[in-house]
Amino acid sequence: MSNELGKKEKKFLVKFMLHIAMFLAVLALSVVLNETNDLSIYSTGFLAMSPVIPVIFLLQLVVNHYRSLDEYIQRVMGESLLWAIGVVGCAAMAYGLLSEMVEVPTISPAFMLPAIAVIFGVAQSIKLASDTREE
Amino acid sequence: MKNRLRVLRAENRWSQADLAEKLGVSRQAVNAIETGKHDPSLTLAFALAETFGKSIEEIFCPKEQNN
Repeated sequence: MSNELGKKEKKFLVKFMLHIAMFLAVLALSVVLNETNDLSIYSTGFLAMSPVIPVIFLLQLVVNHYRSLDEYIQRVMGESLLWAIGVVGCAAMAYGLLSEMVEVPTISPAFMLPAIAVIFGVAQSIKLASDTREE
Repeated sequence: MKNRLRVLRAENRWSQADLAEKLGVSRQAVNAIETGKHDPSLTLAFALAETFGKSIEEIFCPKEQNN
C-alpha cells in the first residue's frame, strides 16, 4: 500500500500541477484578451472571472483525493483546513475593522483562496511533521 | 485509548510501513494510533484485529483500564 500510496500521491500531484497550469493559462489569456480587445461589459466580466473555472475543477480534484485518503490523514486535513479558514477569516475581519478606523492599503479579495491554500499547507506540514519519524 | 500495537508489531517484526501496507493506510496513521494521537474507526480496529489474529479487546483498552 505504501507504494500504492506513493503512486497515488504522484498521480495526484501531476493532475494538481496540470490544473494550476490550466489556471495560469486561462488567467493569462483573459488578461491579454481584455487588454487587446474592446469588449462589451458582459464579455469583460466573463473574461475577468474565467480563471475561477479551472479553480473549480481543481477543487473537485482535491475533494476526490481527500475521499481516497485514510481516516487519519482526512482528520489532519480537516483540522488544517479549519485553521486556514480561521486564520484567513480573522485576518480579513481584522483588516475590515481596521479599515473602518484608519486608511489601509487595498488588498484584493482574490488573494483569499491562495492565502487559505498556503496556510492549509503549512498547518498540514506542521501536524504531520511529528508523525514522520518511526518510534 | 491505550493499545498494544507497538508490542504486537514488534513481536511480528513489522515496521510501521509494513503494517500500514497490510492495513491499506498511511504510515502516519499507524504512528498516530500507536502514540495514542488517533483512535481508529471501528472498521480500522477490526482490520487491525484481523491482521494480528486477535480480538479488538486484546489490542485496545480504555485508559481507565490501564493494566
